[in-house]
Amino acid sequence: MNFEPTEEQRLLRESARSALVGLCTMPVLRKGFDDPAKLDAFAQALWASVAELGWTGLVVPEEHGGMGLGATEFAILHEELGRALFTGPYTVTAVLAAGLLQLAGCPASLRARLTDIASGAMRLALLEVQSGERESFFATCGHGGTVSLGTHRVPDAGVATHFLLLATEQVTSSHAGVGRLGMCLVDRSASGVTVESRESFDPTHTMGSVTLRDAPLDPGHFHVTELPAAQIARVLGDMRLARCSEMLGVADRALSETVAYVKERKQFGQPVGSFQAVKHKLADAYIALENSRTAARYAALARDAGAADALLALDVAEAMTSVMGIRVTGDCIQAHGGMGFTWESDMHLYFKRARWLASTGRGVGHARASIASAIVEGRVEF
Amino acid sequence: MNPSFSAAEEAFRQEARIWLIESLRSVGYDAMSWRERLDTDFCMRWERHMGASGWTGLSWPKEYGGRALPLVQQVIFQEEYARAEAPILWNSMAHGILAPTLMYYGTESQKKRFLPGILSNEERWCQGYSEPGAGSDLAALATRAERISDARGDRYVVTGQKVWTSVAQFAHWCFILVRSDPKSSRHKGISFLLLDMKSRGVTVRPLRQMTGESEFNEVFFDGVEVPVENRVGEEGQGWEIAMTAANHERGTFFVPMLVSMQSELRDLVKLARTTPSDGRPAIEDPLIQDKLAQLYMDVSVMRLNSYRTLETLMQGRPPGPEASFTKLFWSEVRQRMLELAMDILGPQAMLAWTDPQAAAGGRWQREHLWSRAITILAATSEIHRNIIAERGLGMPR
Repeated sequence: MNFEPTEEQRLLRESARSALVGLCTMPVLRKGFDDPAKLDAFAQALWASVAELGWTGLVVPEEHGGMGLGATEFAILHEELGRALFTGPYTVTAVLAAGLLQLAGCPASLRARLTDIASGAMRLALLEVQSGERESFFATCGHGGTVSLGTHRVPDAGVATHFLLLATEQVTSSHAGVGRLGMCLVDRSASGVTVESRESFDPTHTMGSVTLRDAPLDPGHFHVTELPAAQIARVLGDMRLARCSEMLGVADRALSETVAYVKERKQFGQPVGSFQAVKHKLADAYIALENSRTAARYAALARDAGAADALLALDVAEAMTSVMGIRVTGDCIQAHGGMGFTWESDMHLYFKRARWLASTGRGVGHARASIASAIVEGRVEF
Repeated sequence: MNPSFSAAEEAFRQEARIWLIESLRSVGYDAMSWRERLDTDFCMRWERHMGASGWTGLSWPKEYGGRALPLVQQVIFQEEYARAEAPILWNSMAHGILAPTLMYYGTESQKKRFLPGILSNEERWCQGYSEPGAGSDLAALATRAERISDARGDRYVVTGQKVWTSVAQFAHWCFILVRSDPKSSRHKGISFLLLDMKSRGVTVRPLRQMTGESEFNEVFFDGVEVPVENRVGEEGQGWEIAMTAANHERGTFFVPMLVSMQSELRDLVKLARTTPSDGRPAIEDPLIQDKLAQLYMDVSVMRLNSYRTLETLMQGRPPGPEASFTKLFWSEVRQRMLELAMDILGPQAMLAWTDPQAAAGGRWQREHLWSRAITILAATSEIHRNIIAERGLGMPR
């Protein structure tokens, strides 16, 4: 096991960090806060830049124009994206969709779009089909035609060239059972697709309300299949892992800026960072961050090694990282005092991104319950 | 998933495991109750048996009788030792702190005189650091050592008091920090002496702890004579020596704590399965399940952290605040774990651990009480948070 990154991974981190310092800056992001169209335009330009760096094809196999790398690498890249508060539907496109199109049973016509993902030509925003609409959606994915879905809130909808519609369900109830997966790609400009701009809790992402009414499906861009549940969980898990890694980057940057601040800021004639009340709070933040880093790194290593405990490791990483990110960025606001509550300070941006990330998935409660049932059912080793 | 070990390392693990199983069986360990396994005389006999069988000094150079094993094998032994739930090692201060200090700072004759007794565990040591007025602020220590040189020889005369001195009542020797320069203050003027506990003027008074047991002591020194040749390093070098010694502890000390904690969590899950609560197993209570999930997360990440630290050590890079980090996190998680044990026990937790009818021989009540000590001993959690903030984050002192 290698907790230390390999030489290639270290280079990936360094080059990502230095590229993002120039590509995604706070002043530019801030210009988009009051005008979602501006932020979307920036996200689009940013996309072209990172596509040139090859990041959109990070996990796409080489025969489709990608780099064919694994979870350990996309995790590292996501830490850097989090640090920069990167904007745009990167995770959905380059991790989730790229993973789905590589699953067994995916028709060649869909799989061919990996090339467009790798090249940066395709930007995908996600609509997760909820239980009420799932049965009719599976049917649609079987025969094509048109698709209708009630309004979904979709992050980065304004930047997307296509929408990824996705539904999964458990077919057999046992832990190692079978799952059903239905998905289709809908062109943003297709008839029947309406996108209405909403205000996003995280101002460094945009948010859209997307409605589909009899939107036509392109031939070969839909399918439904049954697969071992573990395979589906692994691909969905990749997105969760990416979110965990992004959270690490957000918290890491917030904490290092906060440490720099408390060393400078003086009260009672001395740096506030010399007071134990402040030290202890930030020491706890450091512990939480490092523990989460360990958990997320292990989840990535276990995923790439195909280890038996990979999904359990992911539950641990997710439950730990979500709580950590919100708490650490909140404590960073506190350590800044009044400054921390201002719009001018960047602390609220880290705090909001942390909350946004924690809200994207099924939530901490789900991960904790999953760990608990593994214990109760005797599926964990001590 | 576990870290991969080489064939040679796995072979060593087998050798260690077999020796532990057979030796423990030969002393009747399997049949002993949890209480019997804590017995001091038994533990000390076992410790000497380890010394006689060549399973001590694994990290020591061969010239001092050690086995000079690489770090990974030392860790493997620690893991196996903890996994076998083998007895507490009472002489651990000598092995963890004093021996490496002697190898680095000691004279040839000191090494010759003292290292073999540590290796065999025939000579037990206690650590004389803390004083009534010098706890977290160790540099405030006031025990005096007056140097006298006359026809009877060159010696120190030690007067003062130490406290929280674990196993002093069983120790043959004490390594002690004293103020050898009466005009000095703080970190200067402190020396590191090796003091014979049989000397005239030494009084050991056991302190009763909140568990009801007496494992640590007050130790009084009333004009105790220590020959100058029993000073380690130079006069006034004591603080530096003590700080370097503290770093020796950073090696592999964390491994057994983590392995034992995994076994403890496993036993806690068993307890939750077998303890009824409202007519159903306690493990069916969603609150208890959630707390078990949290502990599982904490214990897993702690084990993974230890591999992360090990990688750092093996690459020869200086450790950061990992020692503080590990100790702090371990102690706080373990307190939580034992609180959960008490929750699971329900009304059964109302019996004292010493009552013959206490569940599991009183193990959980006793460990729960003991766990209040672990956030205080070996530097309090507050001190460790300072260290983490200062060394890990670079915050001002």
